[in-house]
Amino acid sequence: MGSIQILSEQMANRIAAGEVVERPASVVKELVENSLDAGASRVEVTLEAGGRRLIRVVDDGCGMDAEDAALSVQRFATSKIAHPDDLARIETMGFRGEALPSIASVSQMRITTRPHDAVEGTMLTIEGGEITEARTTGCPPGTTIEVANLFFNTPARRKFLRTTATERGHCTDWIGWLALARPDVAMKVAHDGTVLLACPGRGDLRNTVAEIYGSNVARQMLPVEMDTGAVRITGLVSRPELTRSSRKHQVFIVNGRYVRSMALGHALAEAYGILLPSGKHPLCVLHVEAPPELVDPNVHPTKIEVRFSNQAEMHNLTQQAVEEALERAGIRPQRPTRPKMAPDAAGRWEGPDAATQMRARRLRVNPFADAVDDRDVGVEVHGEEPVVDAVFRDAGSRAEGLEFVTEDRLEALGQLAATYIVCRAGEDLLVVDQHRAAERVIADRLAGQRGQVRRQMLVLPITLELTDAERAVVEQYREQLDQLGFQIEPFGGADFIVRSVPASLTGGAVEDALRAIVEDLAESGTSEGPEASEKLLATVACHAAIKAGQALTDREVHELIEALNASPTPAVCPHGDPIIVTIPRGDLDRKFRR
Amino acid sequence: MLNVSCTQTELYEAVQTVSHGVSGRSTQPVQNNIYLESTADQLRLVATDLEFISLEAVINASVVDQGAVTVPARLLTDVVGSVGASEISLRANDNSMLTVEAGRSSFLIRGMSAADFEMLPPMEDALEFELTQRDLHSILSQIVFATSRDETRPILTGALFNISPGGLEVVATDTYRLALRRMTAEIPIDEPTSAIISERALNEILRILEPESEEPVRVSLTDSQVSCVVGNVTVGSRLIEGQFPNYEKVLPDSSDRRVTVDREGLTDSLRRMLIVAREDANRIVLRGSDGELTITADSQDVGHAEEQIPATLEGEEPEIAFNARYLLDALQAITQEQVVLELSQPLAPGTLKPLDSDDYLYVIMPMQIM
Repeated sequence: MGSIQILSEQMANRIAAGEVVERPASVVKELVENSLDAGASRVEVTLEAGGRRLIRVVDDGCGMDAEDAALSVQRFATSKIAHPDDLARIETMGFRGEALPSIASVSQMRITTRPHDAVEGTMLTIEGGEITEARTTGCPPGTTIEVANLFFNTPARRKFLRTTATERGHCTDWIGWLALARPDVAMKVAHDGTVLLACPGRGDLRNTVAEIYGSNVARQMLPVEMDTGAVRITGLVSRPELTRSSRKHQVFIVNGRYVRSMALGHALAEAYGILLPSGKHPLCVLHVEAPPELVDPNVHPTKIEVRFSNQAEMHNLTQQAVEEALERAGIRPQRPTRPKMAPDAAGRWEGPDAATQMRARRLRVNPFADAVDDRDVGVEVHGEEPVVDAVFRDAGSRAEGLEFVTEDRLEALGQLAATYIVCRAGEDLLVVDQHRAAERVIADRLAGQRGQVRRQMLVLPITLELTDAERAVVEQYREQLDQLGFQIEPFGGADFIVRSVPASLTGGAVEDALRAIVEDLAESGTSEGPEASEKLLATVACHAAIKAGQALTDREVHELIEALNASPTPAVCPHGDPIIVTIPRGDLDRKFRR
Repeated sequence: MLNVSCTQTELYEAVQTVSHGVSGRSTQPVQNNIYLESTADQLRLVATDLEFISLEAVINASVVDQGAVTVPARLLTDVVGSVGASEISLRANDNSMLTVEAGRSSFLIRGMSAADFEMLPPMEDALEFELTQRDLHSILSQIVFATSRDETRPILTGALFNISPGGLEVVATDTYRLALRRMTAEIPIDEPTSAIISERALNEILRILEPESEEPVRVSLTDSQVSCVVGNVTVGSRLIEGQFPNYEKVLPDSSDRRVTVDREGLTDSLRRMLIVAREDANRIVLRGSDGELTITADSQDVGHAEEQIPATLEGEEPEIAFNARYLLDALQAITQEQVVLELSQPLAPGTLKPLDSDDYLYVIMPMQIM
């Protein structure tokens, strides 16, 4: 007699619950998403004891008839998918058909529901997944689901729940995210009799942000609006002055679903570039609407991770959308390198257009960027004029924040402390970080040759002896290194042989640079997608570039500054750090009391 | 105490020559000075970075008193160069102050004690041999440019001198190209030996050699040092230690495409192509067919350049891309009128050499055609 048995449906549900239902917040999320899928215009959530004792979700959605209600607590019963092909076109939030049965299997549940056109409703009582009572009842149209005593039959899980405050916090986080996803739906949350959140559902995202994060935050958010036809990116992003030390308040909504996405988070950070102090993250609520075929939300049972089939393009579009938002507010975006890095639809690497270059050219970074006047932070917005404009108008004279310098070319005056190059541009004094400038120049050259690699073959191939971790890095990045011009082949055992190097690096310590690149990548771990390319490029540029502390001849100084002048993005190094510090003539005049 | 007089011309030339030995970056200030010493009937000037360069010049002088002092190189050069008189007298005192008198001008230069000045150790049991200035100039001018500027691979920043009883073989490579020059010479040794000499020292030697002079250069070599005496100047250097890469295996042993062209014609053409090619890593493409070599340069940012030059083609029709600068370096170092490019596959090394001569070989690695 075999000891393997098919699990009972009840056990299967309870196990599935382990995946879907971690804590009260997961229940809240699933139930509210169901409400939204049911077309609710109003959702009320009542919590008791952090949701452990009771979670009640009341909606005015379409409701269910008796038969559907009974089916809804069976596993893989879903009204949302009928055919496998539908999976590719998911537009509803829930679809796996496992949420409700899973929740039901670990709680005492009551479902009260009535379709709008029905005379009477249905009430189901479910205990640990088993329907113990089903009867008709009088009730308002819509659905009310009450989940009591979550995990009453799985004590192990119950033990893992945290304090009431923590669980409550997780619940309200989720409701907040869902409210930001659907500002057109009124949402209200009460906990132990206290109303925590009440979003009016008038469809105004800024109102919703004000309700969740406070009106001060809402005032400092800038509108994002981009529509390419296929993809629409809208929402709000914070002014650079408004930051948090975690990324928790970066809300990405993809096709109406709250998601976490490395790609989108990265795009956001890239758009701000050096506008942000290190370790600080902007706030955002970004709605991305893309054809469902491009989005795969079915990565994880809780659907929180999302993948795009065209990850790089989505990244670039998002970055561009945010950059434009910052631009409209008078805050210039810092990273026009991106267009250079991005392949177009045909997979070719294109340089930035002239307009992008011109925009970037104008940007110089002010030495006193950190010393932004407190008076400028949190200034009230009156009417439509963004505060930022006012900040920038004053920046020229007060030298605070970012500042636009004329498009004069930099003229090298000499090297300072073997680390900086002192330059003149117009009447201003500029100090250039020689390492970062060299990084910029090399990255430009390498990015410029993508798709049209200039490899210099070697008379004496370089032999690399690598550690296991380094080997893994070389294996993973081999193709991308090859695209840059490093032709690397296994050479037996732990060795690799390098047969060619990028032609643009032949003037420098290229072997040393390559070793450092491999070590660096092995140390910092690998990434995927456009981030990996970007990181690789920055790493190569960093190690191939002249270092701080390296004395340069006058000729080298001039060549570097000329190359920087030719760069479309002379202000920011590939890591996103500023290259140039400007000391405006006006500052000198003031210091000399002229 | 040093007390001499000499001609301004001789002194100025000597000061200018040796001041190249000052690194300017020494942590010991005295090493940024020129060492002056009066011997029985001469004035000796020395400057050294104690590593790659030691430059010493000896000039005739009427010596009143023997002694030594050191003075800042730049200051001495400027002073000696500025005076109009034909005779200069130098007089040091106990406080290392140097009085320079020329005609009615007088300078008092603050120097430093000669006792603190360090020099390369004297060479003992050195191998010595002679070459004419012309021969040594010919060798160095054909290989020095191929040394590497990458200081993270110190070996390649020098040239390898393989010395055998029958002559010299000198090799330099920066891994992108390799230059090899052979020369027969009588060298008084039984066993072959070798030395790696830094590019800095070689360039200093090259600078003072007269290309057409039959005067001898005396070369001294030990395990750790080299020196060359050219006229009244001695250039010394420490050798670069280590194993030079095995270059013999990279010398192509066969080629199925030979292109013979006029050296000046190719040189001029490459210079023109470089106007476009310099925007694209100096990349030019060579294609041979129908008695012509077509040279093209393309740059996404700039445009296109193309030129045909007459060529004698043997074997398959070649197509290969090179860094034009690397080609030009060698073409400018070759003196013969005709040169031969020996090629095979587009990614295999090419060889440039003078027609009908095996003395010089220049291996150049291609760039990818794409």
